[in-house]
Amino acid sequence: MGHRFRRLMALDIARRDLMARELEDEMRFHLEQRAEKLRRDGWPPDAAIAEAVRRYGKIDVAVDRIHEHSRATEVRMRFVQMLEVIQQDVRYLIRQLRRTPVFTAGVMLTFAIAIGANTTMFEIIDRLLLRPPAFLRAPGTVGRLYFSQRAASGEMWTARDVSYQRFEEVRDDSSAFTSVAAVFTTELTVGRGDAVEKRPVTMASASFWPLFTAKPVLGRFFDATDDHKPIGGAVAVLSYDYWRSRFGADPGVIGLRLHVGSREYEVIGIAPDGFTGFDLEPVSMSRPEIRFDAIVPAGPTLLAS
Amino acid sequence: MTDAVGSLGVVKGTLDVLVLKTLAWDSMHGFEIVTWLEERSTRGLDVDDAATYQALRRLETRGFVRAQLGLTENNRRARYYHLTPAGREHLRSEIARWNRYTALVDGILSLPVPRKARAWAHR
Repeated sequence: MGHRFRRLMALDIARRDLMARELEDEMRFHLEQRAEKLRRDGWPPDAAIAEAVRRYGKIDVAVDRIHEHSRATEVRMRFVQMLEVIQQDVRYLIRQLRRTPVFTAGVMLTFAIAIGANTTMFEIIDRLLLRPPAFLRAPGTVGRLYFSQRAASGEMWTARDVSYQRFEEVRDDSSAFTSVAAVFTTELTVGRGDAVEKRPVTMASASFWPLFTAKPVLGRFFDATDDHKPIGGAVAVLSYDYWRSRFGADPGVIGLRLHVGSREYEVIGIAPDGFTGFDLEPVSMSRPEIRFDAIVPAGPTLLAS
Repeated sequence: MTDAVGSLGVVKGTLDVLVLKTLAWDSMHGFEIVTWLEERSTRGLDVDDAATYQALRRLETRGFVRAQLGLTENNRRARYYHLTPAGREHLRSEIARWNRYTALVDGILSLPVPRKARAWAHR
């Protein structure tokens, strides 16, 4: 009886795939079983076949559905097969690695160092190039100003620093900027006698602080009254880390007199944790290294470059 | 023609659950599922053969059943369906939902009909 059904659903061979064939076999098998059951119930053979087909519904529609379904199932099965292959590969890999522990340890160490180096590099790049400085109020509108000039030889060169006078000119005579701040970081001796150390110190104009959202942890930041000519007021703001490491986070440090360079400064405030000013220094062990230990008001003599 | 007189059409959406229930005990091929349902319902349910296969396709696509080629008692190749863990979970929740639903409908239908409403109905 099988050949009758086979003829009944002769399909376009090209379109046929394994899955569809399987489903067609299933349909044929079902029709045979149904017809046989009907015959056992007393139906004449031809009528039994006709009835089996009738109950199954329209064969054309069924075949179309089979193809549709086989496509969907095949995609899913390909995915499942892929997962199984990956699983096998991973198992094989683990077995192989177990067999050669020294080689495995070497490879793992190489990976670990490579990943570690990459992570560190990423942190540096992220910190230096991608992320704005912490606490900066409007990173999109703040920029660093450089002056290029032509040397006597005719070559163009860009100065790293500018004179205080040039800063005043830009601040007072240019309408291009809402606010202009002068910043200069250098290493100065801090302390006296045995305790003297060379520490990074930033000199800044009073307009420096409003560019940040940072609030002092203790005391205050200096303002225009401290920032005057010919030399800035003798007041200093300490970095959070310096305050912690040098003074044990003692709140009594406010009012302390501290020798910085050739002058004595009064400590008036502590900058918040993580404040680095405009400078984005390379991270060491995922902690930003703060470049300055103290910030003092800029004066013409100090900023002269 | 063997359908019992007054057989019920299957309530829409319940055929999938019936098929899942069929497979809860053991894996079966399509025709076994069809005959199992016929026998259990003492032919009171009018299930189209094609509809059962369509339900199987739906369940297969949704990942509730999986098919594997196997041999019948007469050494014929056939697709044997079995429940996946997701299918078993789905069956459990569908049974619970069905029980809640029938209890609700039953509760409403078995309310006594008010006298007034009956009088109105006879007018």
